[in-house]
Amino acid sequence: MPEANSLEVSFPLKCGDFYCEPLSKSKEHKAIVKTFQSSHEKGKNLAAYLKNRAIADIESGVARTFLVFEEPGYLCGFFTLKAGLFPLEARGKLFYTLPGIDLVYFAKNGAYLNSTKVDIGSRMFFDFILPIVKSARLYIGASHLYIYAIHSSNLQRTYELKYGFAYPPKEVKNFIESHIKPEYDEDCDFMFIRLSGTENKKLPPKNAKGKNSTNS
Amino acid sequence: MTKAELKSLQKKAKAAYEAMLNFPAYDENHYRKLNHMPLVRHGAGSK
Repeated sequence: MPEANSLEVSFPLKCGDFYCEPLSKSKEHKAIVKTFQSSHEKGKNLAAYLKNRAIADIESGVARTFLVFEEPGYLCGFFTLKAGLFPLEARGKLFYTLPGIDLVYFAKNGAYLNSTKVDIGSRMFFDFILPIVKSARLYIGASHLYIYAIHSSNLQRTYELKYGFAYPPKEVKNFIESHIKPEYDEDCDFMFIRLSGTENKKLPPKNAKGKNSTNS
Repeated sequence: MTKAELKSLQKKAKAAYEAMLNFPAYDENHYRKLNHMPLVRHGAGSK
């Protein structure tokens, strides 16, 4: 039997008082998603997606949505991932493509934000989104993680300065957005992270057992 | 468009592609430190 890889994740994915689960049709999830409130005035479609569309996308295999909770079950937010690619101009009608993972939705629950001082965005991104992306990249090539960020100087600044997303050069951005920008992301800008190489990771040494976290 | 112009455009396009492909890799450690988010091992060997 092959050795498990230290980058593989399983669910519920736990991290301190927080955990992450794939959205399901369970009664608990159906009830809790109804409580989701968008934290951003331009993000009303995020709530609508979670409540009305996310399950259908999971069932059809189009996208995967994950809920993030704080113990004992407060909904902190959700995010949606799907495989993607983006085109880069080659010549004429031809183009290059780069494979990526599309962070389709990344949304904090406004109702939760009003009750906490936790930086839940960072928790979601570093403790759950990045580990799931890394786990997926054990099996599927993806050179970039990208997002269509809502036009809001604060939000895009957060993605850029806090999480490290970058804007492509203007010509590249225009080409990408003229070819694949989804209709629902019309009011958004393409931003990306160039993911690092995927050399085979080895299991942590035996003496690392019992350590749940290490400072990087 | 002349052959030379076309070649120049192709060269420019390839350079843009390579720039995106070879864009500096994400420095996760840097952004974790910036956000006070220590690395957590989720996978094998974490328990």
